[in-house]
Amino acid sequence: MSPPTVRAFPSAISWTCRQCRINSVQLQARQTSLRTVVPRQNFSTTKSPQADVQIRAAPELDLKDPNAIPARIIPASPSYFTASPVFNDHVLLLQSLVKKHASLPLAPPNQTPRAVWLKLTQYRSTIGEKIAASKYSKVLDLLTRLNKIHPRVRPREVKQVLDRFRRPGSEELQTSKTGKIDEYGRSIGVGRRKEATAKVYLVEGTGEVLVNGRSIVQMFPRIHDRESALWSLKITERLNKYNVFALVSGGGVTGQAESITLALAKALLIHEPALKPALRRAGCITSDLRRVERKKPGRLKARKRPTWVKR
Amino acid sequence: MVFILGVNFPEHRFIWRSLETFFGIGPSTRQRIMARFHLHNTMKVGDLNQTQILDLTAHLDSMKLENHLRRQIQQDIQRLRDTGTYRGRRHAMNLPVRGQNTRSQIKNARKLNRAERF
Amino acid sequence: MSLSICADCLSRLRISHNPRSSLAIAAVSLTPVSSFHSASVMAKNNSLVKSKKGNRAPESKYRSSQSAKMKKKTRDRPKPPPIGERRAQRHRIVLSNTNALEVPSLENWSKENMTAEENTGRMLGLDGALLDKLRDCKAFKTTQNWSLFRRPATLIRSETIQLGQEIEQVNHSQGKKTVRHLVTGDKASGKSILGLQGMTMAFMNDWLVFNIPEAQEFVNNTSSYAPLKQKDDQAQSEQLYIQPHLTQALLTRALHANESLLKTLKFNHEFPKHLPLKQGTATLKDLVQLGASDHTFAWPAWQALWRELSEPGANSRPRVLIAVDSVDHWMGPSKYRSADFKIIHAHQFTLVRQFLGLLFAKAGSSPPLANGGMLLYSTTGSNTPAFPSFGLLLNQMRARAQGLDPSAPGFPLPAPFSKPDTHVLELMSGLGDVNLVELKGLSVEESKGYMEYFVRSGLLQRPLTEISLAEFRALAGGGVVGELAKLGRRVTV
Repeated sequence: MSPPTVRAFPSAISWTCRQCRINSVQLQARQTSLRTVVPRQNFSTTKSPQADVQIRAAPELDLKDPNAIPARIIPASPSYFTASPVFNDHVLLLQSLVKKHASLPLAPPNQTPRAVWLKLTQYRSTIGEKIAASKYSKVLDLLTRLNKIHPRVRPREVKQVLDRFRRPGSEELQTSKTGKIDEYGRSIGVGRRKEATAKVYLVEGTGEVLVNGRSIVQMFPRIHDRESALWSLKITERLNKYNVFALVSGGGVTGQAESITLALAKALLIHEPALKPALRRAGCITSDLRRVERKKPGRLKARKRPTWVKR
Repeated sequence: MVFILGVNFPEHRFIWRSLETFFGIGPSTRQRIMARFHLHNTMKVGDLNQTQILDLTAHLDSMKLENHLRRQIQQDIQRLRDTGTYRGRRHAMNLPVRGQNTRSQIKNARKLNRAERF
Repeated sequence: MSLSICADCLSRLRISHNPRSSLAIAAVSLTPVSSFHSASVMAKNNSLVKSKKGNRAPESKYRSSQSAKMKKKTRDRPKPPPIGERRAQRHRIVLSNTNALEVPSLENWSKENMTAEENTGRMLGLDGALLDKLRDCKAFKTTQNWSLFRRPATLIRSETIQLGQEIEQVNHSQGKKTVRHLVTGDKASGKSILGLQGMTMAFMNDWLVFNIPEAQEFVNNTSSYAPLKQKDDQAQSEQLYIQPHLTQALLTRALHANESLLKTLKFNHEFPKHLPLKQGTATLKDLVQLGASDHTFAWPAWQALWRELSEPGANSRPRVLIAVDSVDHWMGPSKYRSADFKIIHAHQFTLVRQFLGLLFAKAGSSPPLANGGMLLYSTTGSNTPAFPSFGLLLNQMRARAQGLDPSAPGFPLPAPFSKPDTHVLELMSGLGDVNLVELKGLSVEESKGYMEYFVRSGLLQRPLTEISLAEFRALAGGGVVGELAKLGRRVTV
């Protein structure tokens, strides 16, 4: 027999088994290493927005050429027989890109371009398939990984793919309001934790702390709570540089103390934005979004079930 | 041992506790008695001097306590029965006297509302 | 037509360009599983084996019930402490901690450096004779952190220096100068310590010291009381009550703390005939001893003693310091009841009335002490009773300290339609000479000196920097002493 004559990988018809085909493609790819960027068609059945969608009949079979006679008909997309082929094509595409560009340098976290990806509902409506949220989160993981590639060396194909997944109108979302120091030298920060809300006025001063107009000792008898309330000043060693006036409401003692932490960190960032990495490392900027789970009927608490007795 | 109204009390016992052992003296009466003789709350029986003991005994003597009190309660119930009142009948039947429901929860009434008590 | 086998697979004989290894999945690297508790596990196994061997019951020929062989477990209960031991433990004053390091540079507090300004923010030690006196007059309390350090020592703060200067002024003044102080402040801000420091300085200057360590004892119905017989001209006024055992306790404290001084004092006036004392040879010590030994003589002995101290006579009298702690318990109704079951007000007790009368003396009345002295009363921050009239009294004192005139519109007055305590309102006429000392947190230098002492005693095992000091001060609510001590002795991992 003649050497392997698989004419083109995407052809729907082949004489050879799958394993041999893959081998030969890899062989070809290696031989023509730089020339070929694997065409997107190879992996996906997605209808590209530019290409016209036309249903065409399969080419006529030429029975005289034995090589042209197909063993069996193979769909263009390897994920054709899965439940959600478009989605799977996306995953495969992204995975291949990640694998291909794994060796490219990453940008440091603060230089990574901010990116807002399509929401789950938006993605569902664009591809017209029902995708579970957990599956989509895998796509998001891959996208964030690709986004971490340093912008200077980022290949064009990566950029194109990322742009397709970008949420429309996300450019406006990227700018957040920055606080200002008012005419009295105060900066204001607001923090929340559990059911408590804290508003902190931070002024340059000598280290006095008032919470709801009372001394912090009266407000928080436990040393641990006092420490956590002032944690952002303590970690940045600014305790004797600022005066704190905090107003807290709602929640319990712990929630109030930790809401002050967050509010204080935010107010401190307005005075000294350079402290952000230190505060981030200390966990003072991250808002803890957990709340108490609601109680359900038929349960004793949110999850606890009444004792089950057979009879 | 200190002798008050025919009962011997150990000296280390609190006065309030000793007083409340008498039938007919509860917390409220006890507080009044102690205030009357200027006895403080943490006083023990052994701290009483002779005159205080005599005064206390005399005062307790004038009160209706123990068997006198029991007999009086007995007589009151007897009077109710004799005059044929509703309350008297309820007492005789060991049932609640003051108009409670009797469908359930009358165990205590059955036990306590006797005509012949004690 | 389709072939059932692959055409390529048939031509396997050719040289393979793509070895199959490229397709092979990377072998999962097997991480060595380490058992972290191998030693203990092995030990446990060993012990199990041993115990099985050791405990195996001797094999018997017949089956017997298992329970008969099982002995009842006897539980070892710890012996309960003897009667009175728990209370003694609670009240025990420990003045030294042998585990703490000795601070070699610790100076003693004495009469010479009593008011030295440069001592502000330093710890000064208390030495032997003074300690005994302070112990005898029950100046130490369990809440004052004496058990932390090797030797009893106290922090000299600016208020202490000020107090010492006033004591010196009283010493130098020929007139009958009496300084009146009411010390307030937050919880653990050093109020009772300031009282102790006042007593220490009074002992240094050979003053006579009367101390009431716990004012609550006078009102919580735990001590004997009796109505005071009234003379005919007083019949209209309200009934007063004496407290013999508390008077006895007061005299006992005064006797032991001031014994050497009282020995030297002769009588100026005649004492009541029924007191078993020798006229002429008796000293004030005999009088106090009489009251301290028998509670039936306590009240007349106190009256006679007070007459000697307050009315001038032939023999000169020493200066007197009266210290009362947690005075706010005296500002409302007590737990006592009168014979007709009415609530007795705290001011109906003779000693309470007398001591409060000294502090809130009406303007124009004669000075209470024959030779001057000091009144040092302090409130409590931890066990504060809710007496709004006393709060109003304090607010009025604050307003006066700020220079507000009592007739000014902003001056605090009882709320309309409220029922203020008339007894407490009567005190308001005597606010004029009372100085309100409001204790706040320590200053930076003082707290630095205090925390350094913790470092040198080995309690605080990290160096004290400006940053850490600022942290301590902020966490202690601006340098509140008791909170600083809590932070200083806290074990940080």
